[in-house]
Amino acid sequence: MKDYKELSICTDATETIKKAERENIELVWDRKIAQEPHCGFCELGLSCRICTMGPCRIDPFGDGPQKGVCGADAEIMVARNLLRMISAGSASHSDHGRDLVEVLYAVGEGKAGGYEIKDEEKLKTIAKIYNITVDGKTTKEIAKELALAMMEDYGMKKKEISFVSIAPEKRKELWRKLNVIPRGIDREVTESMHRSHMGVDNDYISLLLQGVRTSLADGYGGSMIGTYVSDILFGTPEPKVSALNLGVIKEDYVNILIHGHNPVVSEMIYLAVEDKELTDLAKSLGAKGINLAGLCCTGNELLMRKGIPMAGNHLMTELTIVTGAVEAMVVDYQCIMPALSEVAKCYHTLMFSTSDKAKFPGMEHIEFNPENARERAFKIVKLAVENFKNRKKEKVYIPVTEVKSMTGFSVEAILKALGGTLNPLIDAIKAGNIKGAVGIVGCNNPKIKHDYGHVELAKKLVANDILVLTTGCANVAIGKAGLQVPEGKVFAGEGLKAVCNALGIPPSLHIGSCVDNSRILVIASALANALGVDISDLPLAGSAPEWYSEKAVAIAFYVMASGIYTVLGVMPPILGSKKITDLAVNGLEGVFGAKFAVEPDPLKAGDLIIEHIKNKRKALGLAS
Amino acid sequence: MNIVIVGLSAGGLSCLKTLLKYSKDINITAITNEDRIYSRCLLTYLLGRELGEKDINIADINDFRQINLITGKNVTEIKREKKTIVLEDGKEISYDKLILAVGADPLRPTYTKEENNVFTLRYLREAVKIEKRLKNSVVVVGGGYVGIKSAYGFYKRKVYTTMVVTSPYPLSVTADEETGRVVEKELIKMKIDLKLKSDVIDISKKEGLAKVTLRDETEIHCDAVIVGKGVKPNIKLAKNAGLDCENGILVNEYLQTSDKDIFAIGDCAESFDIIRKERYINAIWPVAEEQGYFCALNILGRDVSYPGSISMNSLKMENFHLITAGLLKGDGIKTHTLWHKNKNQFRKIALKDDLLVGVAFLNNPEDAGVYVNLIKKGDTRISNPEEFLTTTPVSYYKI
Amino acid sequence: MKTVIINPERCVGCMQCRFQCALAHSKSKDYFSVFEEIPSKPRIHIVKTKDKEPFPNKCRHCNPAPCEQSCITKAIYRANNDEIVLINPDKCINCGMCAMACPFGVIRYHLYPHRKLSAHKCDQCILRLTEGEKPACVSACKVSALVYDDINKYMTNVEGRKIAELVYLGIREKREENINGYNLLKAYNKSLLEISRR
Repeated sequence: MKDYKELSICTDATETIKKAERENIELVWDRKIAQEPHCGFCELGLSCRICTMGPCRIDPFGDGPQKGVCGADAEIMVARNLLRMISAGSASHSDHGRDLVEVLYAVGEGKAGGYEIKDEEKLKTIAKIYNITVDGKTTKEIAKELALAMMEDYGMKKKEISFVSIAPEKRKELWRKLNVIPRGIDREVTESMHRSHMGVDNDYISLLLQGVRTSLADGYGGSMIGTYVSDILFGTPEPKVSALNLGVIKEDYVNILIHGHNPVVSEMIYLAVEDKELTDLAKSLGAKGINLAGLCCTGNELLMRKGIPMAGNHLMTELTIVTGAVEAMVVDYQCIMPALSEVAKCYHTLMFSTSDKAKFPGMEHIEFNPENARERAFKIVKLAVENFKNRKKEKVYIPVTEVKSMTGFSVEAILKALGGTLNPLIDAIKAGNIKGAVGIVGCNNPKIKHDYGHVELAKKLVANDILVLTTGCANVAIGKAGLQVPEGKVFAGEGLKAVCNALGIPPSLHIGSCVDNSRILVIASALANALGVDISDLPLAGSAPEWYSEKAVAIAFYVMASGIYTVLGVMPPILGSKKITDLAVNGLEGVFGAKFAVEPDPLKAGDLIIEHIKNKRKALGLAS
Repeated sequence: MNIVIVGLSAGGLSCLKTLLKYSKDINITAITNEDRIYSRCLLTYLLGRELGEKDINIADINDFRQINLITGKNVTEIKREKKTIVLEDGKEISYDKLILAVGADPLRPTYTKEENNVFTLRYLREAVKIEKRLKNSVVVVGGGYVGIKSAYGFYKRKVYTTMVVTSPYPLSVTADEETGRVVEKELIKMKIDLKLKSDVIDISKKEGLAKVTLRDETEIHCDAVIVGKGVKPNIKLAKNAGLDCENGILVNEYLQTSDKDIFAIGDCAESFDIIRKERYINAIWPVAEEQGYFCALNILGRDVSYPGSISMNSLKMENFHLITAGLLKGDGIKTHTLWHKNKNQFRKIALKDDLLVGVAFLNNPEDAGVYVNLIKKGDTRISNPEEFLTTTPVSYYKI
Repeated sequence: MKTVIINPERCVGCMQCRFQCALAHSKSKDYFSVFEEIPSKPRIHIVKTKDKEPFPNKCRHCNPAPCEQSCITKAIYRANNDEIVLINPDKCINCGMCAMACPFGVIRYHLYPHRKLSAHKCDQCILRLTEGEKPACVSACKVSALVYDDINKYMTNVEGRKIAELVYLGIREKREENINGYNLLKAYNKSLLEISRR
């Protein structure tokens, strides 16, 4: 007997939570309650288990121990822990990017079965950034050369990783001054692990600056490579209308869900689902066809490029299986709760893991690599179709019908909508029709009422004529609330409404998955360059109202380090150190021209952002 | 000061121990009509052979050398004008303060004849007699706590047990139907032949066995019949002495009878029920102990008023643990239950308007005591029962 | 009289006390005890308050103790000059009466190492006390949420008596301490709760 309204604002969530409770299925919220109260040392960042002289804890009240066995005080402990969080986050995005680079290389070598170059133009543009001459070379040659150049970015051959070049000059100067330009993606992650080893770096400022450098290796390194190579291989997204929520699971179809982050696997599953033979097989078994739907960022990748609908975000993943209508879930990696296979056991749902780096108890492991991907994808889809006959009709419950949502707003698409240049946008900002732009990004976290943080913040911002850009789980939340269709302009203030009307766009634009936060860096840099200012001068902000993962910490850091004010909804484990907390919410401003704020209430977070944008506009001499 | 305690079960013993603990210079006489001090509640365990005869002792007579302990003697009369009591052998003992902890006797329906192998289970001597008769089968009459605990004892020693219960489900006096049904299911699991909505018409003796005839003319042959149909307080002594009595011996909030030098505690004393808000006897062990404690403090001049009692009981059989307290049914009482079906657990609260009047806990005893004490406070009001059930109060004092 | 005094406003919910309690009452008294055939169970419990803050809940060793009064086999008794309420597992028959009587919900039923199922609760580490050590939970607590001190120190004046009573009842009002990270965290967690209840 939970208070469902405390758990989620979405009907599809609350209704399926009720079903799960009736069927005795343990969900993320149950496990969260079982974990409470959370350990205060860990929440404060005051526990350290880096070495076995410890583990150590520091008494936040000042009576008990104030130093670890090695002598680390609160500052060192918090900084080391935070650095390791950033490293893990950067490592995740970057390793995801690396997998795409390997596919790109395989395509270049002609050894990647089902994969090809979909966007040659983009391949050439990116090659130019890497100083690769493209004239007189075949696409495959360029692909191979670019892949090799990107691999170097992972290593340590150069002084600066390549994509840093897109940042405004002023920003780059600042970074050089602070010595935080990454020298190789893997190198920074490795160095961070090294520095946080006992007895290496023990100056919290120095540790945090390395954190910044590692995060930039993510934003301008791994993530940006992930985004661009995905665009090259699978096409640069273009605006289209698709659908969101549990209603995209169709009662009379074979339903296959793809979950995880990397489009390499899911693009092949998409091909297999389109296959006529498999569709005929599904029909012969009494289904109307095969229905593919996405979850989390794999879902976002396919939504952006193929318009494949999304069944939900992070906290919805277990609930999709609870509908009883899912024949198979195919996962790659990141954010896949190991609990999923437990839930699946209670239904007929087949679970497939596909990556050699992400195996799960209770899932069947069918490993994908560039060569075998096509054949493996067909195998999985066939197994899913055959599983349709095992579905228990009486257990099927899909509580809602789908909600329409627009997607596909890559930087190129936005430019196209604006008529090829950023000028209309700049004019709208100058005129005050658009006061500013805010990226709402990040995960779900059961500590925050599901989707409440995302949706309320988005509503508040668009009502104040602030354009919203969404990625990741925030996209599903805000899309479900109806803000990502042109009709969503009813939520917008008068100025933004006029812009929406003129361009036929929604007040909130879906720009991609969580690696696609790099697109925000590209737009911000382009805007700053067009105006001849630094990013920190622009009326921009970032927000992660419901973040949970280490990746979000890395994102928050590179966004802040790029000069964008960042408001977090969930408290990172830093409160144990007064100095670091103070630095994060005040001191950083003087260094990067941007800082953090933590505010779990989306309405108050909205106020903070509106105030911030007002100040930035004033400094630029624009009317507020 | 001469203090005389009549009866040395839960109440008398607790009173005696408290007196001894807090005062060294008093002269105490304690009288029991048995020859040892044992726990009545353990008789069902004795029959179930979980405990031996020695295990049920809760105090050793030799531990009380500092007082005048009289065993195996009944008190026949109280002479209030002389402030003395008379023992069965005619001996008179004078008192300044007299404590009556004379307990209660089981109700014995007309068919309760020991010559027909029909027994009640209140005293050790009865248990000994039953033990002698018991071989293969037994009939338990009554579906209250005594009946069920006996049945569980018999199940443990693999004696075939039939239970005859008048009401449609067990524990019907204290529990609501849902709770009763849970107990029913558990009894059936123990392969006890449960005859609900049934009554014993007659019991006779046939070929050395008891022949039980039920209302539907079923006949059951068994080694012995145990009758557990409740108790009646022993008030004869008090009544003859002219003390105010109704169902039990009436006492005020200091546990004094209508004679200020005579106190009554335990199963014989009609005190106050916090939930029923009227005079009532909750004939249970913890209440007797508590009253013994309060009574001793009052005798020692501490002037502490006894807040009253509530009914409560605990039933633990293997992996089954049910705790009930207060009222779970009655006029205007509504129950709210939080089930955890997969763990076979529930917690239930009973509300009269918004006043907490009863609880039942199945298989999760952890917080039961907190809730029981919330009832005991007598003014626990709950506006949102669903929320209340899902949160754990840290302390009974504040919710 | 020395006893374990609880400062609930300091508890950070790390559960170290539970771990050390289980260790102190295990056969081997070291980390390998988790592999014992019948693992030792902790006798202190971290419960959530209504505001989801942690509260260390353990036996208050009441006098008179309702559990002791309700025990029909007298397996529950007092020791150490009546300061400590103990359970004799060999006399306990698992009737469940003590859990029903305990106003603080600290009694559980577990197997003891010699395979006897019995009521189970804090024994104030009576063995450690005889060896001159503090109770295990107190030694484990790094934030002084659990301290072993003389309760009479708190009983000498009216204010102290009030605090002592509240400590005993487990409802000590949250004292305003100097603002530190933990206060901020608690304020943050509180606002989370309020927001979710909207």
